[in-house]
Amino acid sequence: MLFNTPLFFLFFAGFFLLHAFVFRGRQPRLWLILVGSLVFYAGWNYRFIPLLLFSGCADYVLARAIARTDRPVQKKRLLSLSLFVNLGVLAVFKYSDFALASVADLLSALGQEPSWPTLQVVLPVGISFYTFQSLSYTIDVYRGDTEARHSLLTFLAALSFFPQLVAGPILRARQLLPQLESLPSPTWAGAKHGFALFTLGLFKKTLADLLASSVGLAFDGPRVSVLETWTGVLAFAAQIYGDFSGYTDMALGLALLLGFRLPENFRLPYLATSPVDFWRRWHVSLSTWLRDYLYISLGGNRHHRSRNIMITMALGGLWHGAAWTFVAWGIFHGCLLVATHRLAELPFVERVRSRAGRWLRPLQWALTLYLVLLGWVLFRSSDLTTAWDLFGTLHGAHAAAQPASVAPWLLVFVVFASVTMHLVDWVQLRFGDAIEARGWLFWPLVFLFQLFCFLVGAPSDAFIYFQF
Amino acid sequence: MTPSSTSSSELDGRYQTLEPGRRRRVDLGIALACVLVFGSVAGTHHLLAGLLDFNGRPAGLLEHLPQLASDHRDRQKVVVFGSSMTQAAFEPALFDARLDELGLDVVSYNHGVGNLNPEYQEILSRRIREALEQEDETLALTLVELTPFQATLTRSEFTAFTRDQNHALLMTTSELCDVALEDPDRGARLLTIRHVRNGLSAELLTSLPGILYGALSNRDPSPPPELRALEERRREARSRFEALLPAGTSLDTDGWNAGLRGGRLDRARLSAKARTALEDWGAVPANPARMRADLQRRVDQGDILELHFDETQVQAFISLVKNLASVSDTIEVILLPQNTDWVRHGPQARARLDAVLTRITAETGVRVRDLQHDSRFTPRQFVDTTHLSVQEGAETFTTILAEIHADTLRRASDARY
Repeated sequence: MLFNTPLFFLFFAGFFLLHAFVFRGRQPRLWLILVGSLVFYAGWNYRFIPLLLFSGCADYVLARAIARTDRPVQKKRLLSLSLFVNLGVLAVFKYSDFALASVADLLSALGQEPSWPTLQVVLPVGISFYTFQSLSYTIDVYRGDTEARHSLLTFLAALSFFPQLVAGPILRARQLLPQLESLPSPTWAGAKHGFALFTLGLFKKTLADLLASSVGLAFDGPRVSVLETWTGVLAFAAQIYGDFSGYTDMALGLALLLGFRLPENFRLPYLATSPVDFWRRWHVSLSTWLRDYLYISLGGNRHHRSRNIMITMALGGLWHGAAWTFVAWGIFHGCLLVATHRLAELPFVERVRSRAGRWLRPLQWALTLYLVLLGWVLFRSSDLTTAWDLFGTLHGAHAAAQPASVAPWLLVFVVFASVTMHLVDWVQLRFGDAIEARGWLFWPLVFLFQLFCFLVGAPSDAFIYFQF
Repeated sequence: MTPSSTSSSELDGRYQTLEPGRRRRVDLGIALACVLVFGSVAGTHHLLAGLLDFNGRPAGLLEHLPQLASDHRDRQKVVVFGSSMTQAAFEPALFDARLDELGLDVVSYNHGVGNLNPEYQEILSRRIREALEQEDETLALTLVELTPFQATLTRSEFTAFTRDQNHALLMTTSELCDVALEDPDRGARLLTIRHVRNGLSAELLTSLPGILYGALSNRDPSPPPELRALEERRREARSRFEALLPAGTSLDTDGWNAGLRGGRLDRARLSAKARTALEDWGAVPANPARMRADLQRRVDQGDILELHFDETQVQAFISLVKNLASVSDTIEVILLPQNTDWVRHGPQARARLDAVLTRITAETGVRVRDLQHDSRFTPRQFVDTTHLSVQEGAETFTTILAEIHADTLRRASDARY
């Protein structure tokens, strides 16, 4: 049940009416949120509802136990158990086949003939999101950053809250639990903002779908020219941004219509002027999660910073999918982050920066974008050999000699779509309040954007990030 | 700039706990805004889709089915069912006239619809069968075109984007509800396409850039002057002929012409000048660059030379033959003439096609008539690599078809009366 499908519209209409007009009081509304969210989840695969509830119940019980005990050793044991449960669930459902296949590949390379079968485990949708979310709760309770909740219902409703359930943003306990405890009311201004975010999210998602065939040009077909390969890589960069940030905006908008605030997840990432800056703007809820719960736990900036960054980014890459391409993508970004930090420490670089000032920024932006695009090649390629081949093609090696005659037009379309996605975000951030305050401008814009999406939207395409 | 669309500072003023009365007013406002926005969007889309009229021919054919069953009950009915190749090649008026000359009273229909793979044709065949069964009517003769490249894996993959559109258009509401019970997401989508989107799926438009890119990529962007001149001559010749067409007639292949029972032309109604213009148009040779690009498109989108068949499509074709056989006195599968200058199957493709034909005959008991290499058809009679031309090809094909089946229809007529 994707946000841009008719079935979801029906579901949300029913849910909203019940939430707003039928279920009164905190308890009934919490039950409605929990049951509604499980129905939403069942839209993908009802068989995995027990797994979701198991994760939630386990962390609820463990967090309560952590809060009750005063013994640090006991607290640590309970936290370890929570880590074991959550990471164990991820290991079984997401990484078991990958691990088996990797070991088999390794043995084959060593001349052995492994004959074990893969488990063919079905990946439960959203598992990476909700296990991280659930895990962060017990860690927060362990660290004393949040209180263990008494109400299992509230905790499960927060964990399964449908706007963010399957593709984030990854919420912390302190972000949503207090809201579910107080159940805030939507205001008209908040609702208009929700409409705006939902509409812009849908618009970006629609543009992302339009780019799908251009992406295939570079990644899924025979070798093409340099120009077409760059077009495909650019298209993927725009597609994944439109798809994921579009989904997040829709999630934020839907939550706002119900009265809940979810944190932002993207901040115009392709305007970043360094890899560090990029990770402050891209999938913010994941990067801050990794920073707070992994990087800092490894030692953060205090000691072995480069090692910590590399481990964090490699695991961050693996979080995206059980494949070596994702790990390589994480390591690639880890290298970029380490290199950026190291360069920033050089006196020469500091001198250049202070002298060149703002004139250096376009160059920094272009270089960052170039590196991020190279990263997307690793992310999107089916395997590392293909990625390596594409790196060569992008730089003129073994490309098809001539691009198709219409290739430049395709590039224009891809660039236009990419710029448009960022432009609407920028306008929303810069002028959103002013536009929302003027109903005569706001509602026609909502209508036009929605009409565009309804006309050309591709409801059968899945969101790319659901697979993570 | 603070790039924070939903930062706390911005939203703090937007959220507070309201007393129940005020909250209800806000909730009502949200509900009303949803209804108005989505209602006006859906209404405008409905209107635009109606104007675009993407489903002109299949929708027109579906609308006509009750008449197919109820009209001309005293005459022998012939249906030629197939793809755009049938649509281009078969002229009901000419067919009826030729059989009339042979002393047979026949009314024929062109049920050729473009862009429908056997999977979708099968659904359409159900609608035809139901319409006839409802009126307890049968067809004297049904000819079912098998278009080999429409039943290939490549074709199935390429046309996947039309699946929802075709299912939503061709299925009955009851069938759509069955889909919804099995897969609520898809069912809701199909019902929306049918009832809210006015039969126009989003994928149809969304896929256009990719298709356009593929099509344009196969074209020579700067053809030599002589080919450009040739194209210009063809365009002018066509325009001259179109200007002389009788009222209510059009070469447009998108719609359903009820007066011509699905055909494009009634040659008997053409003036002498129009006939000359048609001949002049036919005399302009084909543009080899355009033919090459067309062949490449058919290879890319339909595997026309290698013919790796899709089991689902083959099975669907067998089902559709059975559907139509149940309401036909005589039924035959035909392979339309092939433009042998461009489309030549190698031994492996031929073997694959033969295997499919053998299977069709074995499973349906229906005879297959192969006109692919019939010497009465020449490459000159084709408008592209697959479709017979309106100038010569359609006339030859229709006449030959009438002559081939005259005896069958005569026997059926004798038996009937």
